[in-house]
Amino acid sequence: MNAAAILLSFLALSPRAAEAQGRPIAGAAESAAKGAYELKAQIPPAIRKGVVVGLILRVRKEGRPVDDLVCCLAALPLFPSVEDAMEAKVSGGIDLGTAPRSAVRTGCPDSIAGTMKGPGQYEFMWEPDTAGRVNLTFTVETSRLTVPVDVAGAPPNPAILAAFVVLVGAVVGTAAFLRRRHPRQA
Amino acid sequence: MGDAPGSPRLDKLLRSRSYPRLFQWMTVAAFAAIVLTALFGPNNAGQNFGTALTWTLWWPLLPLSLLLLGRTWCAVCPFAWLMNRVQKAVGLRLPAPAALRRFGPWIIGALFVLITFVDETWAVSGDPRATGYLLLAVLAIVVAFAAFFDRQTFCRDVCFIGGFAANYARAGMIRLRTSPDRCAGCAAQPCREGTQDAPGCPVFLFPPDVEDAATCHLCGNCLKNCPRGAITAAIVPPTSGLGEIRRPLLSDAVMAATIMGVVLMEQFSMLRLWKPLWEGIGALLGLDPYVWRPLVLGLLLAAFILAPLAALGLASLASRPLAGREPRIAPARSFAAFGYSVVPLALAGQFAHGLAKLLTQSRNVPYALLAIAGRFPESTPAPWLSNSAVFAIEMAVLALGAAASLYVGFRIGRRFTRAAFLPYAFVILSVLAAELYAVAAMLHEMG
Repeated sequence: MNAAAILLSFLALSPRAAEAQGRPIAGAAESAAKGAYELKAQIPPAIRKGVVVGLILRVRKEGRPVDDLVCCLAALPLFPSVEDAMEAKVSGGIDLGTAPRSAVRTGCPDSIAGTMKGPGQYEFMWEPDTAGRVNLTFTVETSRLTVPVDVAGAPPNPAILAAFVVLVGAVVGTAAFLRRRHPRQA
Repeated sequence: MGDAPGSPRLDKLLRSRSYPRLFQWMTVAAFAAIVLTALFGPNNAGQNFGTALTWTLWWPLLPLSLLLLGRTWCAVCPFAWLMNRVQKAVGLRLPAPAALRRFGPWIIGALFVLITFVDETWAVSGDPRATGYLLLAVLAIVVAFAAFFDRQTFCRDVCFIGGFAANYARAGMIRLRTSPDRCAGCAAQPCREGTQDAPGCPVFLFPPDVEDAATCHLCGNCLKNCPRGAITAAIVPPTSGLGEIRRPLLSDAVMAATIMGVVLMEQFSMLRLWKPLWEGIGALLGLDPYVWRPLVLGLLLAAFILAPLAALGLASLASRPLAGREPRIAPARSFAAFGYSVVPLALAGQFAHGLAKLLTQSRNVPYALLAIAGRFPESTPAPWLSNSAVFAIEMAVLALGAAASLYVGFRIGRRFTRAAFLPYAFVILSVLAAELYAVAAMLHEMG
């Protein structure tokens, strides 16, 4: 990618994830154009690395809920690290963690499968094992809905930060004290 | 310091008052951004500006910069700036303990292995928070050394980069030269002690006594301070310095072999065979490899480091009878002398290993910078180059490194006997074969 292409891609950036999380996603129009089903996803407002969350996918066709489908979810970091790419893989997709109820199925070779929760509703239990921006792609036959989400990581350990400050403060303080006591040495 | 022709432009740069200060300000700003984003930014190595910049740009480019620019990085390193500030404020400027001076090269080597072990076991480079903690730990040690000891004792005797930096800088293309005529009769030694124009040498060097480019940081202080203009900078052919070592040190040869082992381990750890390998070793020892992961990985690291060391040791024994009627050299001396011949291959191996991250993952750096402000691209950015192109470049770099190693070995052999180099040439070609296998297997696995 040359510099001009990078610049153009920056101009086209869109912070969609914050809008997308916490309520049903208005991705139906886009997905309907790509397939036979209208897909809407319900994502919890806060997703944290290592914590299982339930994601709901609503599937409709011509205004009616559709049951007994194989719905799949693939999760891929927007720009993965080498370490992400080397994670254990689910048939070519990057496995970002699966909860026990959403196992890999024959119908979802590159992703995890959802389970029926109600009329036209499919639940995916997802345990992200990375943080940052992740693209969640729901697939029902040829219909597809991609939702970017932000997965929060653990904050820095306050004990480590405090230990650093205290250690550096003690070292600098001791040196300053000694230099004042023995100015000729410095 | 060598008799290569001087480079007036380089001299001008090194004598400039803005050098290295201007570059230090830039690296200090970058370092502050790295630490802050590593600690408080997204907890994903690819999307965190701190880890992306550190592990996909700076770390892979460091060996190349040492080859092209010598230890210039050490002159512009943010820690150099920090040490000066701390010393001006509270520094006691004590001399380094004698044990530190005596065992400095071994301490540096041990710390390099320790950092590698920590990274391999706890995946520091893949974890922004862990990267942040590591940088804070190094920062605290730097402040402590600056507060108590004189000049840049930390850089000379402790910095874990110093080991391979010294070896690669020896192979580097920039070195200082002195004019013995002009230095004769100079009792004040302003190049070492400093003047009002600039501080003395940060690593306590007296330029006329310096044999190679291993320890010089190319900060330019000696050039600024010398009233006789006896010191100049010169551009030399790469690896030329390695064939001219008059006092070979065992620690340098051990460090070069250690780096080869570490790079081999890092390459093999990316292959599918790695997981069954360390699980198998755990089972062999009757240990759960996941519970005892540090121990099992530590043993593997030790094995990978010891393999090239043992190979060089055997080569030193095998080279003795090959010396023929020439005066035979003791194995330890042979090991130290010919050990420098593996430096180009070690450098090439480390650089080639970093190329995968540099040429595919460093594209994340600008996006990770924008991600701080919550701006993301619509889709995953394409890598700079395809995997097959990257691996082809890696193989070319490794082949070039091996060729340079053989050339250096033959040059060293001129001082003894060329036949004595044959066992070392065999070791070099064996390590090359192992590295090429790892690269080819990686390409095969990634499709």
